[in-house]
Amino acid sequence: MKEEDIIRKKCGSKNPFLVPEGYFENFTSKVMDALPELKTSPKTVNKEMGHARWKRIAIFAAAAAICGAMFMGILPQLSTMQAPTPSTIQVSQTTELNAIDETYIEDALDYAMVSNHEIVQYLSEAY
Amino acid sequence: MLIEEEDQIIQDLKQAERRRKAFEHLVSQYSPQLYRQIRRMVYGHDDTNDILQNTFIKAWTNIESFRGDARLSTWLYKIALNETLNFIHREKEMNAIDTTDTSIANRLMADEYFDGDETELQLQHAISLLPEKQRIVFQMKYYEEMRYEEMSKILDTSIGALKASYHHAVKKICEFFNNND
Repeated sequence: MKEEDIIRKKCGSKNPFLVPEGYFENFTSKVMDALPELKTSPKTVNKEMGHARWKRIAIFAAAAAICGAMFMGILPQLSTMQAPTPSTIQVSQTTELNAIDETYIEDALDYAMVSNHEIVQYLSEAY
Repeated sequence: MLIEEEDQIIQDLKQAERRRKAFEHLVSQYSPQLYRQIRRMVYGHDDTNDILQNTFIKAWTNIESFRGDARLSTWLYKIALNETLNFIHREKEMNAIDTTDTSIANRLMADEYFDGDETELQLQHAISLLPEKQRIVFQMKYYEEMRYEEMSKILDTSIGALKASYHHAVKKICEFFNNND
């Protein structure tokens, strides 16, 4: 015989706990009287308030992100867009040209696979 | 309670104008079984009455948090169990509940609302000596014949663990009777 059956045979499973007479009949009304008045769906109101707040935050966040992106985009350009004074224009143009001569033309020729001989030939024909 | 009836109550609980009436129905339907469950844990009628009232008040104030995922009975059992365990732990801290060998038997013998013979008294005593979880599982299964699936939802414990708890509880109670016969 299973152990549970031994207990059931010995003790049964009757509820030995009694309640005062009419307890459950009165209990329901007692509980209903004790219930607090629920506010008109406070959680829903809070939820709506929460949604509105998040909406506002989202708008501000989006605006801040756009401003940030614009600022970050403009910043490098601003640093390169320093207004040149007339005296520096000539110098800067010369240095820029020199820089171009030294750095980019050789690379460009390499990529174009043009030899020095071909360049000389081309220049002599042209002139 | 039939599933259709429970569904109707759930629908009514969601509507403010019908909520109170539906809740009244809920209280009258579930108070006897919740009372039994609480009483077997705390033994005294007055304490059970207080815990049961608190259970329903808590259910009422949190009614909007009930989403209908679980059965109403499961939800109520869970609240009742939490309230009961809080009460027991509070009382233990205050040393008001004496769980020594003879205290439960003495308390029950002195209780005018306890209707049990000597064997029943022994059984209650044996149950009171079980660890808390085993005691809860044993009472749900042995007296209420609750399915393990529902128990699992109430206690947030796997079915395997519940079966093991019940098995250990039964074994210990048998041993208790063997030692005391």
